[in-house]
Amino acid sequence: MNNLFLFVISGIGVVTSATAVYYINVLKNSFKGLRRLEKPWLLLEFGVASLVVAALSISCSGISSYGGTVQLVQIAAVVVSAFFILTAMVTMKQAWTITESD
Amino acid sequence: MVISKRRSVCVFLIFIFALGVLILPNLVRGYSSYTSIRHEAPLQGSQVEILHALEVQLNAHNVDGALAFFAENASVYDPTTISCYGGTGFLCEPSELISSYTSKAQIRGWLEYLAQVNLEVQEIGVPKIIGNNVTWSWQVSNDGYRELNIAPLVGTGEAVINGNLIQYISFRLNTDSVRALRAALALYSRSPFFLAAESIAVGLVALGLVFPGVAVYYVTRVKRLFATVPKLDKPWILLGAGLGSIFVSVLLVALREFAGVSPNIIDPFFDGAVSFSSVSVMSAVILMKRVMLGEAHE
Repeated sequence: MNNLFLFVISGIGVVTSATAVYYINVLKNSFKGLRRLEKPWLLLEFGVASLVVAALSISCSGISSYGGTVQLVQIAAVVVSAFFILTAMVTMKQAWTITESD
Repeated sequence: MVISKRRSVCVFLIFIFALGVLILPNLVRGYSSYTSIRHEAPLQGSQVEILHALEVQLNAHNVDGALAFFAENASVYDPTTISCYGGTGFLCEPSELISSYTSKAQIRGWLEYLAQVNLEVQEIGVPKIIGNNVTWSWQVSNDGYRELNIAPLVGTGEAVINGNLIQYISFRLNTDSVRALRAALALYSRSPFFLAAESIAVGLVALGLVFPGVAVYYVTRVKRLFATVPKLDKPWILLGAGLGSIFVSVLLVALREFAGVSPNIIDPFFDGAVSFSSVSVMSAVILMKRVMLGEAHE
């Protein structure tokens, strides 16, 4: 595949996930008063940070000779990201539900 | 004396004429065969030279150099490659369904794959040339074959060369090599390393499909909690879309690893899906921040 295409795709992925991490951090800081919400935001941050790794590995697959290993890192990063986002959503739902009942 | 002299001159002339009659057709045939060789020899030479030059570029893993030998509408049929996952890990059987490359972009992908698996190809014997068609025997090694301890394998190549460009080229392993490859793959698939690697791959893919699926469900639950804030609908939908594209990316990996779909087809979509999920999550979070903090300020 064309390396330029890989770098563009990878660049978009890295920049947007890094921006997402920044905005999650802003949101987390804004909800400092609600301690129950700290965990979901943190988990969401981890999830998106894993997406940064997955996006970075796209460009690595273009330049690295260890194509198979990079692919393994890619899929692992995607799965870990999905896991963290899932956990973030579960805890967020719990946190908001408890807050409502409280 | 004079008569006998004339007679001997006549006999000599008749002898020369007879000799000429006998030799001339052979001379003509010889000339014509010589001229036909003269017309065909450079063509044969150039076709073989093109194949030799291609072989050099393939062995040097020079993708652009090798691609320059193919015509714009060239096609390749190569069922000899084995897709590898994990570098030295999983091996897949060659699949005939994914072995045709019909555009220059696909041929580039095929050549990149050959470079990636450290292809070494060597012509053996003398190529047969009929018109524009060339048939030759070759032996081939790549990382997959080396790992299975069966390198080099032997096969037959067929090419159609128009002018200086390859119109069509195919590589087929011979029966013994296919038998050796199948036996080695069968042995490898029973090894503990392969079984462990296969289990990890299946586990990763299964988790990768379940996690985003469940996460989307929880996103809808959280979205319902915020039903009173319609402005928050969009961020949750975008987050759901991001998770959806993560699901799609894992599905693509499953197609590549277990359904035998070519990495050349899958990988660009996988990369696109990962990037799309990043964009989607970023948009969701930015909107969420705007709405939530805006609401807080209001």
